[in-house]
Amino acid sequence: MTDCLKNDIRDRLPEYVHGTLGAAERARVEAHLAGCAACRGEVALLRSMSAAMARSAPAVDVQRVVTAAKAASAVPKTRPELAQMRRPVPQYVWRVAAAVLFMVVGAGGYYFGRVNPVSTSPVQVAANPTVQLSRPMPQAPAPVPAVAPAAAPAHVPAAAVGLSFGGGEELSPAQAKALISDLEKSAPVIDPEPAAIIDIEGTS
Amino acid sequence: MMEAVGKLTPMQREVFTLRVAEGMSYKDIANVVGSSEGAARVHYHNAMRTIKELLT
Repeated sequence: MTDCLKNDIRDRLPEYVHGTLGAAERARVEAHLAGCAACRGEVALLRSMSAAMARSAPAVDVQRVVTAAKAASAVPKTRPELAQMRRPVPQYVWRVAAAVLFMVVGAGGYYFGRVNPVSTSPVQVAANPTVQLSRPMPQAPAPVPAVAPAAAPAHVPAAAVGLSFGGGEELSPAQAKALISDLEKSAPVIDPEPAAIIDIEGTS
Repeated sequence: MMEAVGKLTPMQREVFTLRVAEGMSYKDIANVVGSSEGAARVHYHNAMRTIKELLT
């Protein structure tokens, strides 16, 4: 089969087969086909090939592919790193972060609640009995009966001051002095060790 | 007939399929395959010549 030399007509044959040519172009192609056996043979080949491909090829929305390709080519290309950085964070990451935060806050609150419970002083409790304590208050020491303090004398005579040795008895200064002197007498007198005589000149 | 198409180069097969089966223009084919419009036209005519030779 010898190819037709009218390439402008041959380039229109696929569109002619698919019926996408305008009226003027279609009339021009049909006029050429009437006198060109090679182009009629190519049109027949195109129709049979198109039918065979339609049977064998999976259905593809080519117009959608072309639209997507045009949109992709219109978007300015960016560096892969930036494209990666713009990826949305997966939802599971947020869930894990929320769980960790919840555990940390809960553990911290439990720990500090045990170490430093709600500060409620006895004064506050006494003032407001409805306050609930987190743990029982420690037992206060037995109350000491209030004794009205005796009026302290403004002047204590020196003679009233004495020594007490735990027996409840107090000694007057004279008695204390006598006791001290008795102790000095009864205690053995320890002579200090005589100094060693060193014969320096060797006379002895 | 499909065996003849299978013997084309990958680029020729893609251009020829888009042109014949889908009726796409050279401009759209160039956008799809990432080539120029003239290159798409050359690929189509080379594919058509090869298929004619294989079928005769």
